[in-house]
Amino acid sequence: MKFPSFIKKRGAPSFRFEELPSADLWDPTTHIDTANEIFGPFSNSLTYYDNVLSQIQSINELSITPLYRLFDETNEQVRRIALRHDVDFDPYAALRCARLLARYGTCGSFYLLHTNPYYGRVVNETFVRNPYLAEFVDGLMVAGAEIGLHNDALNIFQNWNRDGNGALTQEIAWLRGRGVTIHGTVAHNSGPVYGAENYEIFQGYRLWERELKTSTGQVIPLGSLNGEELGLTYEGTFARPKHDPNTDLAGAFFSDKVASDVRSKSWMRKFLLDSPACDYMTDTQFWLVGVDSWIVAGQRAGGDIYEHFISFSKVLEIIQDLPTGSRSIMVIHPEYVRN
Amino acid sequence: MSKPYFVIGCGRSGTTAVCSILDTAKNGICNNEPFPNLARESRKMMEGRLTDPSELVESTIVARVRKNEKEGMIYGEKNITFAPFVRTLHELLDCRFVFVKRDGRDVVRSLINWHEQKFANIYREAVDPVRLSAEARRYIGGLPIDLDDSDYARPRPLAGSPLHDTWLNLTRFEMCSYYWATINGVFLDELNMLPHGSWITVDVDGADSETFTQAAEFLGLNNLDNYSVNKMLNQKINSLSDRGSSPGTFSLWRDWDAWHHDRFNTIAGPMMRKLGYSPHLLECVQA
Repeated sequence: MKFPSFIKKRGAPSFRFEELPSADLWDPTTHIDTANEIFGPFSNSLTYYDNVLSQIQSINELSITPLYRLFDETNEQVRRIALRHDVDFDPYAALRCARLLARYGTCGSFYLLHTNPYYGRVVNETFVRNPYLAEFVDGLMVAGAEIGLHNDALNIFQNWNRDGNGALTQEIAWLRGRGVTIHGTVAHNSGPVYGAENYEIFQGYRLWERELKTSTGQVIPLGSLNGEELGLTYEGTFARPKHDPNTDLAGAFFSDKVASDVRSKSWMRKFLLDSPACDYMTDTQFWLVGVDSWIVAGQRAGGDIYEHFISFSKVLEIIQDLPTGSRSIMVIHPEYVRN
Repeated sequence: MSKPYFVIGCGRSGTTAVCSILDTAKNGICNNEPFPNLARESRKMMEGRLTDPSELVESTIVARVRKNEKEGMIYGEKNITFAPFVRTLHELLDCRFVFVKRDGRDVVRSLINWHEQKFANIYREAVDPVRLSAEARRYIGGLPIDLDDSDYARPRPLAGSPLHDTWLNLTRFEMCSYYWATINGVFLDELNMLPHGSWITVDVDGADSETFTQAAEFLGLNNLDNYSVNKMLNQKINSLSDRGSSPGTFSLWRDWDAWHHDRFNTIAGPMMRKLGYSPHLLECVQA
């Protein structure tokens, strides 16, 4: 695979990568305790997710597909919905979700966050993968999940002062070396966190012309990484730059970190539906954000739809009414599906 | 024209070996797992989500049999996914069945070794820590579950049945024990509703050339060569070693600990007795 040479000349330095386990690197008990503390108040039971799955599986003429097949050109009339799992923090919860899906023969898509300690961390200038990571990956593979990376390259550029593109490329290669077939990545976080969306590192995905810098003043090479050369076929937010973005509004939206809150109705609406900088290829997105609490954003025959903090029973009605040929995603953070 | 036949049984019971041996008959063929094999439909049928399979079986399996039938030749095929379709096949084809059985403890061991060494896709939801050979990891990395009909075809407990609520806490050993007991139960339920003389049972572990002479006579096959049959039996067709893989490390049942014996006996003990496998040994182990 090729890698733009100017990044190595001008950009942030690369990590060394270490695969040897370090026993004291990560304490699963502490990590899970932290997950319980952070996500517990917002979490649902596995039985709840089981019910969600069985309800959508029982809908006639609705096909549940992994993300890599969401936009397959065959059977274009079929309504499709993909189950996207952004594994922000808790790989154990992710494995439980994947195993639940396996029971039904359903393929969910799981994206591992390569900047979270469950994946790895920096020790003395070396990125050291968690000794448990290989087990998580094997567990997800056996459970039949589609596996991808939860792309956090901008975090590496900005906060770790290292080459985020190189780190993402390296982790894709490492996962493939473990036997994983990777078709896609999903951008972690949202634009205001870094001043750009993580997917903007890919060629063709920069939302508008601007200069983004690391904390040490180095230019971050937005739009430089060639996804095709990396063997990727999709970016799983399915965002695409607007042809004529309102850069003033976009700039204001991306620079307002304080307003960015998944629980804010106005902010989430702007993020998922009224973005000044991007559109979405998907017809509808269903985000699980709390205890039986969903956000729905997208298009329907009569125009836009946006629902904030609705229950699954209402989500189900919307899914049942999805039009022929529609392509939708459910975004599940496994942290919200705990025991 | 002679009646077609099907080799059926639980996976890892020796069905492939039986099919291969019967395929050596001069006046017949036995196809190994031709597609479509109704894998997904089999699970739906067992879960009551497919109520009238006649049209499905007619348009797939019956059509294939008709297409392959030739004057003077007896058509046979092996598929392990036909358990809930046995009666329908008989109604539509007036066919015969060779039901292959094997001691459940040997089947469970074989399934687990098959999973760990070869394909890694047997009861994908099992709670066990993953132990995969490099070969198995390579295979499973390219087979997400949406492309994998074979694991989907295996039965899972229905709501209200004893293991349903605890299923996701079970090990692969327990799930494989459930599979062996359940799928053999479905086979026997179906076979026992057929007219007398429609089916025979073969136990590959105790089989010899005489076993296959009788099977061939039952099916109308001729010219099975005793030497070749014995050679094929010794070859252990479709075993891990026959497929060029490492043999696997899961213990022979005689070396199982008390937990394994207890769990197997709880889940599969009644079917062991039903199929005539050494209840005495089971009881000895329990004692």
